Amino acid sequence: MRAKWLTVLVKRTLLLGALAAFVFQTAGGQSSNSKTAAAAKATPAGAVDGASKSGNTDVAKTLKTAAEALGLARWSGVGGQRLPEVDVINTMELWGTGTTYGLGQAYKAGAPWPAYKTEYHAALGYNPPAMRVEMTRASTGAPAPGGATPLHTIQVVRDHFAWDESEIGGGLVSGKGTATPAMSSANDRLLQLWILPYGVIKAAIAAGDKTKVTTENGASVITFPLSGPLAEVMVKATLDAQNEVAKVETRSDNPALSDMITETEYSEYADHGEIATDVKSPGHIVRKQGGHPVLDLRVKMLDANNPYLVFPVPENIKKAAAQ
Amino acid sequence: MMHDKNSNALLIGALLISGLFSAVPAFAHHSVQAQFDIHKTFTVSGTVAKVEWINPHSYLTINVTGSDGKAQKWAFELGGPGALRRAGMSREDRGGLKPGDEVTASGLAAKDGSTTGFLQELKLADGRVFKFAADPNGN
Amino acid sequence: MTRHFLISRGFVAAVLFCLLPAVAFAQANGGPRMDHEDTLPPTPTGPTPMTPDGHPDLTGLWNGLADNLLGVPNQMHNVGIEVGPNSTRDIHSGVQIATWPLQKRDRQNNEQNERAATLLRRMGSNRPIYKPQYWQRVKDFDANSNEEDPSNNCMPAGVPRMGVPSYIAQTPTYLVFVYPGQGGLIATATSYRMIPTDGRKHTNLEDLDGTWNGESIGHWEGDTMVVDSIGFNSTSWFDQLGGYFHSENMHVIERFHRDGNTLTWTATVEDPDVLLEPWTTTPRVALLNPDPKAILQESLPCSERDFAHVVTKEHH
Repeated sequence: MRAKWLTVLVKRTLLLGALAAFVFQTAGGQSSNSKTAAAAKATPAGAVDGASKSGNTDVAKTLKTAAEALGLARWSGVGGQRLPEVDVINTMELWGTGTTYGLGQAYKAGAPWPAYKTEYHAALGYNPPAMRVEMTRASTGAPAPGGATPLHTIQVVRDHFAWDESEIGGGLVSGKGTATPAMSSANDRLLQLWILPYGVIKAAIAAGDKTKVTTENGASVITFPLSGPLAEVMVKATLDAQNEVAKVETRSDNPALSDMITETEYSEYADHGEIATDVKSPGHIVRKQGGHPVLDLRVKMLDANNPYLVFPVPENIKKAAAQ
Repeated sequence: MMHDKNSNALLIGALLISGLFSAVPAFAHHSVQAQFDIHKTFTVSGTVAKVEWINPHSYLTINVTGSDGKAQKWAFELGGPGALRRAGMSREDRGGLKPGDEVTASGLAAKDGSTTGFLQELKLADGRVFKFAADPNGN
Repeated sequence: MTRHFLISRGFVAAVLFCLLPAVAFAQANGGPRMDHEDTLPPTPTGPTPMTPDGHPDLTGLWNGLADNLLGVPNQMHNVGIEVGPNSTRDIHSGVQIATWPLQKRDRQNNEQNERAATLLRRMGSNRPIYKPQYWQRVKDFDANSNEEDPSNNCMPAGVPRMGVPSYIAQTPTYLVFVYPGQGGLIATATSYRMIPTDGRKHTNLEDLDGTWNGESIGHWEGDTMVVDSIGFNSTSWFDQLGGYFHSENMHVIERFHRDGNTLTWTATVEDPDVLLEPWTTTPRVALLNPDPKAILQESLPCSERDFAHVVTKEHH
């Protein structure tokens, strides 16, 4: 039985307003890039932003190293041009198998949440920010209350719109599936995008001066706030010895946002593409939310070649959001 | 172009270094690695059959006598006509290649085992050595 | 002078020579600028010449930045990614993209270059929105482009995939566009279009055989030349890469605007059979060849010999 407190919390996150995640991306990115760039040593081109000095050098260097470790930062001067490295990652699609857990659906208080064997398929993009998560679940037998849990779900977020599809792309073409508004889930779904390793690096760069780097037990730790509708969420990312994002923890000082407390561990990084892209992705993803496990996934394949993935917002969703 | 020893040395030096360090883009219209094994090089010696200036790749075909004594044709593709031009081989009568010239060619091996390769180095009978630093997909 | 001295001088000269390879090569061959420090559109300079009948004169050799499909910098510009010295912007979404200025020339092997190029050409946000039933097909075409690209084997690129013509000749009643054969991103034979601007109307679509370039008519809207095309085959793809197929009902509207020594081009693709909404390219800005005496070089003949030997799916 879904706890009433959870419903209240979810509703309260809506108070954060209608700022789109794309605003977050744009606004954050604009202020940070010149500083990130300038924090690097002077280039032969000679362009240095004097406002950023050595205080930012460690942050810039750590972020660059982490970006390169992921294969996110790539030299755009292919062919001998004197061009810089840029963040090449936009869209990705991943397929995995594992277990998901029914959030807050413990049959009895204190009992473990019901577990579902899950086929997990996610399509995502950062420009514009969007994610479509398709899950096919089979119960592992633990009793689940309140009737049948939907076994096949397609959950979408795009900018600040969120909806559920009855089939991929449902609701866009008349007669081909439906789209059901799920606006109250927008922030939860957006958060998933930004706690992926690529989202973490992008958001840390976009946070500019607010991003800090420290060392804990010999590992580099990056902390920064998200922005836009997720502005009250703080992220703490720990890198492994290869500078890959190994652990991502989120929290909020706002007690109403306890559902934004997550902890994800990423491991077994490799190039999981059908053809190599030099983009590294984690082979194993384990996530907890509010202290309970919610996801344990092994990645079978990840297409990181900026595949054709689009997330148009159906008309009825735009109308529902406007109300 | 003078032909004394000093100038030849300069020319060889210039071409060797420009071939090695220049990131001059090569023309390519597909991924080289889909066709050639970037980690596997090989060498053949023979005589030039023909040089063809075409898009997307120029081709140098070499007649090679195999270890079994049989004649083989090895087709080496170059990144683009610019590669031959930059190496000063754009005209037969100006230091370029002619059918019958003896050459030794090294390049990347074809993934499908055919008698083709992606040219990386060419040695001529007169001692000139040309390196082709392909930068695929630069153009 | 000793031989040693000359050789050492020669090596110095050679090293200096090879620091300017692309530029030297390009200029020595009458070819346009190939060395880039950015992918920003050129800033217009100079007056816009006008014709006696009061329109901008689009006549010129528009390959000042090389043929518009040639080279990763042009290809990134084509998808709206503007790389500056310290920052990168996606002009369609306005998003800033993280940039790290080059501190030294990094050595990458060819595999890494190819993989990066595949990503760089696709990182833009401006994608046509197909109907969901075609999403998988577009993805599959792109991933399998070694086999599926209709321009393979020296077939045409078509309109609007060819982008900006390298040469335009403008008369009072027609335009001639010349697109030299390419050996770069896609290997194509030379193409041309002759576009009447005498006010005639289109042939009925039912009476047109579908072709690669379609039937085009042009007219002025103020200072912009609008070229309207119908009558396409369903074989071509409509952008430089991406598997963007279309139907025979595709309708393309190109806009050409000259400002001094720059020419800005956009194409709008309408195809309600397959797209949810019309799609417009991000603007591409071509530069007039700075050498007023430059002429088009002969294109090499196109002869494709590789696809029979392609074994794996790495692609442009």
